[in-house]
Amino acid sequence: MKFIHIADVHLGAQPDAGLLHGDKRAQEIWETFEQVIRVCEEEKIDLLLIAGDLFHRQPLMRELKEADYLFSGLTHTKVVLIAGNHDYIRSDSYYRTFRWSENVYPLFAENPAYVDFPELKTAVYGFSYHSREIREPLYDRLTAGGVEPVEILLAHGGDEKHIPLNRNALAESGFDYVAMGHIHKPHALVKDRIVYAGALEPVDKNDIGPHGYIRGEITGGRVRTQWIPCAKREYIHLDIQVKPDEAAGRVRDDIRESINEHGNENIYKIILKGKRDADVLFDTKRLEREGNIVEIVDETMPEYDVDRIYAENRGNILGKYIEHFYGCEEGSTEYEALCEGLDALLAGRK
Amino acid sequence: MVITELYLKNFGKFAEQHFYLHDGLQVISGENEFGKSTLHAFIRAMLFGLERGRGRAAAKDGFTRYEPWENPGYYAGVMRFTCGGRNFRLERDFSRAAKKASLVCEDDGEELSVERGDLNMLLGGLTPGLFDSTISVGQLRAEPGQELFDALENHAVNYFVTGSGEIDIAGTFQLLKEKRRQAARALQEEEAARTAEQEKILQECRYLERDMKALQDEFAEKQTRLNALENVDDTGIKAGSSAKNLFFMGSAGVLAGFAGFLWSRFISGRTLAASAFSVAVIAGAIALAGVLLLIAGGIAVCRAGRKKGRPKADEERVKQLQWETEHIQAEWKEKMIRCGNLREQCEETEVSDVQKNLLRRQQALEMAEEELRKAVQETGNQTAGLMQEKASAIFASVTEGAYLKIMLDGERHISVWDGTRRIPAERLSRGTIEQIYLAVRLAAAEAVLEEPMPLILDDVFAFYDDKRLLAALKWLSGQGKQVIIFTCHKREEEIVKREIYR
Repeated sequence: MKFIHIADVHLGAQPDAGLLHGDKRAQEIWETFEQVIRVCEEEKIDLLLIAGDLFHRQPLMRELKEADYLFSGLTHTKVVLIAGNHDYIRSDSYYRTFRWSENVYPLFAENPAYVDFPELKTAVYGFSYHSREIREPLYDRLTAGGVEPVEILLAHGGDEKHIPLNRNALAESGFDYVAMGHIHKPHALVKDRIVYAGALEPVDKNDIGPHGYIRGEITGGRVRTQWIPCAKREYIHLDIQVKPDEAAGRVRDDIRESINEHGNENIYKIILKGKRDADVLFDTKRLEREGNIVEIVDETMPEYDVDRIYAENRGNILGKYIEHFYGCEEGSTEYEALCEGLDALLAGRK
Repeated sequence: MVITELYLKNFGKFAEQHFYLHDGLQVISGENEFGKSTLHAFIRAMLFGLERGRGRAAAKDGFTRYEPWENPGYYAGVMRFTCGGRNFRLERDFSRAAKKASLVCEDDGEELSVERGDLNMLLGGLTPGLFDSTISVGQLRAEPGQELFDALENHAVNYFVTGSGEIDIAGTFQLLKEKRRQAARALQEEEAARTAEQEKILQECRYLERDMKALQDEFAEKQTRLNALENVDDTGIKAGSSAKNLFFMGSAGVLAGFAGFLWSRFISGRTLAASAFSVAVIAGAIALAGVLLLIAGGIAVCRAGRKKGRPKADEERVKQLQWETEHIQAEWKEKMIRCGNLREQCEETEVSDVQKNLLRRQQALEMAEEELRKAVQETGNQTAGLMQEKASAIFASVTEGAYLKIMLDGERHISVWDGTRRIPAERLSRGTIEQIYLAVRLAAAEAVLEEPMPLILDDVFAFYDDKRLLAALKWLSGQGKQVIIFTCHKREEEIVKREIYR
């Protein structure tokens, strides 16, 4: 039995709206989703498992029709899906009334249920969010029903407000495979057994690293999975080390160069680090206009040789001031205060 | 330290000029434009080098100012001095291309390294800032009047509070406040940008809601039309059924009439014609009534039929309306969900990292201010007393005992004490204020510097009367230090010749 497990597709999301690349992002999320459907068809995948948050918010009718149209083109694959915390089943949700194609099996009930696929000797369990938050550890009590030789759970959550998880309980629940959703970073809680597919496309500037889906195969009770990257872009947090003698133009060039190196298709959050010349201030707003940049955070500290200044000024106000910050860590708010104070004191030096 | 020779190879307006100096008091006098400030700047440049400013500052920095008038590629000088009983020769090249400095001890020819701090050792901790704030004395740069007094007070407070006068405390606080204001403004801008973004979303919500309202109205209107059509349909059906009734009754009447007629023919053959006739009459009447009913039914059916012809068109309209209302409902719901999603999005916007960073900066600036205030208090307590004592002693000498003390009160106001009265500084003459200023600076030089350093006084005595000038020069000559006086008046030189080196 071959399956593909995706999660957190967030159709309808518009990451980085208002930025240069922002207009394309909403479309790209759909395109990558279509690509996965194409893979399902080409590789004759038996089950497409969608572990929640297929949509970013309450799906619109046209969005549901669009998604279902894509599903309906699958000649071999059957689709099982649950609703997550983002597309939770609200009282007026279209999920309640929408008529899906024959090969689509939603598990939209609030209580655990399963779909039986006798021809695949597989049963898929799951339930859906009917509210934005679920704080009870609902998966801890869930066990496989033993309906079919292969039993799979679709689960969504894993943090405090969204069904907190007990990894051990889940590992002993008897499911052959738990297809997890909610956490956007792809990772396995138990290798080949309990796996977060991660978001299909990154939807937020903090969804760093590559994204994709899980391709799995269950033969004779043995599960093998493989994570396959397919996202069109990556969010990358770039630390740019600033040296004291660098001018703002040089820093801009460094950023450009670094972006070229890491790929122009990717989207960057730039963090300026290190020591800058005490009298240089970076115009982050202007740097941001370079494109492909979501945000620039300036964490540089002015370059001061605190020890030398202290040695020269023991006993006077500068020395006293430095003493007030004795032992504070570089990078802390205290250190920033020390630098700001020194900056002001030395600027006022006649 | 005693400077023995200044050799300006190429510096400002000077080229290949030697100036020889000696220990103790000396006066270098010259008219305006003689180059006194250049000499003064040369001493500073020899001691600390010439740093080039960055950006806009470069236009006004010392480097640009004293770049030689002739042959700027050659920009250099030599200073010879004694320190700790040994003679040194310090040579510097200031030019952009070949910036370098060499320091040689002339007694044993030992090469010392300026880069590695040998010169700093000889200077005993004298920094450019300290040089400017202590041993190099100029006039109080201020207009006479309140501004002059403010300048004095600001200076004196800085000296008393910081222990050296190197730092402008009020300016520092002001700068920190200005930075905090800037951070607050940046934060506001950031927030305004986010609010604008949210406003855009909310605007879309409002458009959607307006559309939804329009759809609702359309729906209501279509619904009433639909209801009206459906009512008309009902009356048509009723008319049809009553026509059927009439038809049925009419047929029954015709049949009964016919049966009565047959029966009358049948009995007329056997019995009296009269009775047969009466039966025939009754039958005829019944048949007639039946025929009438039939006709009425026929008309009713016709009418109903005509009505039914119209409902065919109506039915399509009803269907059309029903389809339309359903469509409107669907559209309305789609918009309603989209609107809800947008509102959700609006509520979700979170604090950006840029905002967090700015908030932190604000916090840091507040902390800097607070700690600085504490540091000021601590240093002030330590140094103010000592400084006050020293400055008072110098001031008393220069004024030949006319005033005994300089005092700084809790509010950091300066006043002087003449033995009986306390006189606020703002009531003193410009000359006396200059004398307080000099006293404070000299006190700071004494307090801060480990080594006796030459004092450089640049046109400081302009407002002194002869008596006080003599007293000041006497005090200076009694300090056992090299004192270099730059002046554009002949007065100082004469007094020195007449009174000091008799």
